[in-house]
Amino acid sequence: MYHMELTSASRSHAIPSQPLIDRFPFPFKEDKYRYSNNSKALESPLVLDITPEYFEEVKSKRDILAKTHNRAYQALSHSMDGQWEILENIIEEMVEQHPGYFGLEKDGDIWTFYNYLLEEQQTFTLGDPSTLPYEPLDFIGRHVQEDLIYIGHRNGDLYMDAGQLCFPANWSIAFNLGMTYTEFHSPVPHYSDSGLAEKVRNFLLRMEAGKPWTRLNWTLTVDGVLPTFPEIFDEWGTKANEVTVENAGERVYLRVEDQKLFRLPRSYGILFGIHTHLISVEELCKKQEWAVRFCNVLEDLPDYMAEYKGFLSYKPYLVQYLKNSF
Amino acid sequence: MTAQPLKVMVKDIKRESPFVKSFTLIPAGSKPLPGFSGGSHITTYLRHNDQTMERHYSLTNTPGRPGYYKIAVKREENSKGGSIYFHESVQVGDQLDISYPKNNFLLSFQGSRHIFIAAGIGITPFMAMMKELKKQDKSFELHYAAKSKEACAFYNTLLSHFKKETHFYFSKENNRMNPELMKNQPIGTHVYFCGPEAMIKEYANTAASYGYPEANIHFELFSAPDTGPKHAFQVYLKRSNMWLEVPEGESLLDTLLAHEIDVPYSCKIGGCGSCQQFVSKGEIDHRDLFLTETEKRSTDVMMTCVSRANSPSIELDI
Amino acid sequence: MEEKKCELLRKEKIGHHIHKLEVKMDDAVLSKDCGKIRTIKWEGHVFEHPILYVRISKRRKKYYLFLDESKSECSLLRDRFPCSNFYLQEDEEYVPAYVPRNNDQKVISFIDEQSLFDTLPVIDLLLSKNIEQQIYAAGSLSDNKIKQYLNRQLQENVTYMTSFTSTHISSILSGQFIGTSLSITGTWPVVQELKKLAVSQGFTEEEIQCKGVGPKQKKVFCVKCYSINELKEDMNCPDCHADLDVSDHFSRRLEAYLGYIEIE
Repeated sequence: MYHMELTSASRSHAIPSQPLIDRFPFPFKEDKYRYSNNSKALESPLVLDITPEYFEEVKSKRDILAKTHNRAYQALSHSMDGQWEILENIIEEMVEQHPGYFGLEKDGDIWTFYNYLLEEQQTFTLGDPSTLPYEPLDFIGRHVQEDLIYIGHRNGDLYMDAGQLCFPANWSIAFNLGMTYTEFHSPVPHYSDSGLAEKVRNFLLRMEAGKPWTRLNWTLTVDGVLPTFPEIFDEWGTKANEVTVENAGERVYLRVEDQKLFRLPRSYGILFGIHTHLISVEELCKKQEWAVRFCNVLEDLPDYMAEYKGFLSYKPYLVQYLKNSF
Repeated sequence: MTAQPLKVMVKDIKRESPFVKSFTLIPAGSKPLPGFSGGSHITTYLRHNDQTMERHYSLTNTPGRPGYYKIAVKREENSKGGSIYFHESVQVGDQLDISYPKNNFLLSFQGSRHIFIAAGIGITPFMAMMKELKKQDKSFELHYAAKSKEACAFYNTLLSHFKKETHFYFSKENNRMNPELMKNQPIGTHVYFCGPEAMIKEYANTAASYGYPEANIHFELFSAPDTGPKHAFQVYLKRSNMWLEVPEGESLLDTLLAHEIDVPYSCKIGGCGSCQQFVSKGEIDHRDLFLTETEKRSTDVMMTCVSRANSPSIELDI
Repeated sequence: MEEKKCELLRKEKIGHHIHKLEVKMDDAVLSKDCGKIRTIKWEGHVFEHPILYVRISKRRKKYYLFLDESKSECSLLRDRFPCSNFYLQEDEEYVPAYVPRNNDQKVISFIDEQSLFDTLPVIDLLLSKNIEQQIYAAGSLSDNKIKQYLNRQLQENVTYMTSFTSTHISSILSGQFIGTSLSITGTWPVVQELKKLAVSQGFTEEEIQCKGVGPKQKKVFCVKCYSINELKEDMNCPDCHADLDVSDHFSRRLEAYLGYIEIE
């Protein structure tokens, strides 16, 4: 098998660079936003999206995992089969879709995985967690930009059984671990009490392998902080008070989660991948139709949603900034 | 919305009984077949006389990632052609299109004891489920009713692998299986039925009368229950702003698909829940076995494969 | 809720302070199989007094009432009540200690001295439905009279224990068959402990009913340091001293509510 050798000089150019504005997944399809089952079929059934931020984000994830492991990684012991299935699926996708970045050698159940981007390799035996430095989900999550959550399907319900979560939108996997789908969504206003959470749960229970689904979720973050853990809310939460009409463009970021759901036919659980994209409002305003639409969405948004998403206090400044931009 | 089918090749055909043949399927390309869990089935897409026949078969080999699938097909003389096609036309080396494994018949995670009750070809999903439990060293038993030893598929396999757990009931020997076998079972027991509808109903009702919680009773249907005449009705698709006529005798799902409306579906017999749609107006004649009574009363969802309108027209959120 | 008239048929003192009355409703019947009376009215007097009821014959409109006189300071009620006719008004909020499921074959009840009174109507309800029952009573029941009553009602199916030990309870639970339900009553900590044991023995939510008495201490998970402490007013985490904004997001695994960091 041929292994691509990358020098450090060529590494930074390995991932084609494309302006953020041309690849950002803008989430608003109309001038208003409400909760709904806005999932749609995922056209190309792929978990991963490798962007120029790969090196920076993977490093950030690894730093977080090294310093505060239980904040970013949690798993129930019975999730091990599901974890292996996720690892296998992701590695297969890596080498099939990105043979220039990743490689794999198989010798029966002994696999050697290569990450050419990071110049790393790991040999392990499938199904034997002692051959990996971390649990399978925790291992493979360190090679991708996505947060990876394993949802177990048991007792006729869906449970958060494991997850590596470095870039949460203010939720804690240390707290949510082991909850059912409706339980871990209970803080989302109107989602549970309207019965929508239950409907979406029933829809997910019947998801089939080979037919993945995707949806975009969004919120706002000040200063483009990716790891908005509730555990360190005192570090990033106060920034909301610093937003003004003048600095909103520079400091407020639209945060979009590209969420993907895959049925795992072997464990019969679900892989929930979250790729978080950030764009500053200033940059977003380079596309005037986006600025206008975003402004309309914000103006129409009920206060309870702005409150839940954490930007009610500075929403008027942001709206004013957007209006000034067009 | 439908996933690309998996391409497989028939590697081996084995006769399991006078009317049952097993087919071993391996990938037609280089990509390994997805793994599966006990209780899974696949849909086979058979092209025959310009038509595609969809048939569902349980996987009978050991779950995990074995790299191949095994199905067992019973020859049904009055079938619509699927089983005859398998028995008469399919040869070793043939290529087939199949779906990814789907599972509407999962083993209970919290169950501490599992009782499988099979009639005839209803044995197939249990073959894989028992192999999975055996691997995990868990407690289970099989009760299997067939006409005779000779007509009993997997007789020898069961004797050699699950002798201790298997109880046979051969009607020719006047040994009939009785639902009373579910009585006085320990807390944590789950019961699973697979066979004709009448048998499933009888066992499910008896289990409930013994105090089995609803969540401890599992079953898989093989064919759609006969739920009466299929009258014509109108359907309005709200988001598409379109009126359709569902003709007498045809399902709403088939009408939608015939009009190239891309809606999900799977079993087509009201058992899996895949074809659920939201109903915004009209009364529904629920004919599925998937929705709970409470869900049926709430009337905002329906299974388009078997359920129909109770009012002259209904409105769907499509 | 309307007042309903009834006639006293029989009266028996079954405990030092507990009376069991057999009554026949005059016209309107009581709404549930097993419930609670909020007020009784007789000869122009109105009493708010805990009385539990259980229906023993639907056709003949017959009920048993259970009255704990120790809970009333009114001597009139103790000395003269009841007479032949009086009026009852129901308490609609009341949740009985146990509501039989369809197809219950057997019910095992765990009770203590405090929850005993709530259990009395349930015993008659299960007897009337021919459902087998087994009662385990913890703590010393100081009232010998009520013990005699229980022994009479249940014969060998009542067991007195000084306390519930997990090994003993597990051995009771492990040999049970499908069709057996559990009724767990008592103080909240004991109820929660017993429920955990039952779940570990394979009982599901559907097969367990709990009714706790007294305060149920809420616990809070501090999102900053992950410690779990009892809920207080103006919650400040005793371990990391973060001010916590306690939400109603609850984890069954941690048995705690989520406390978010509160900032100025």
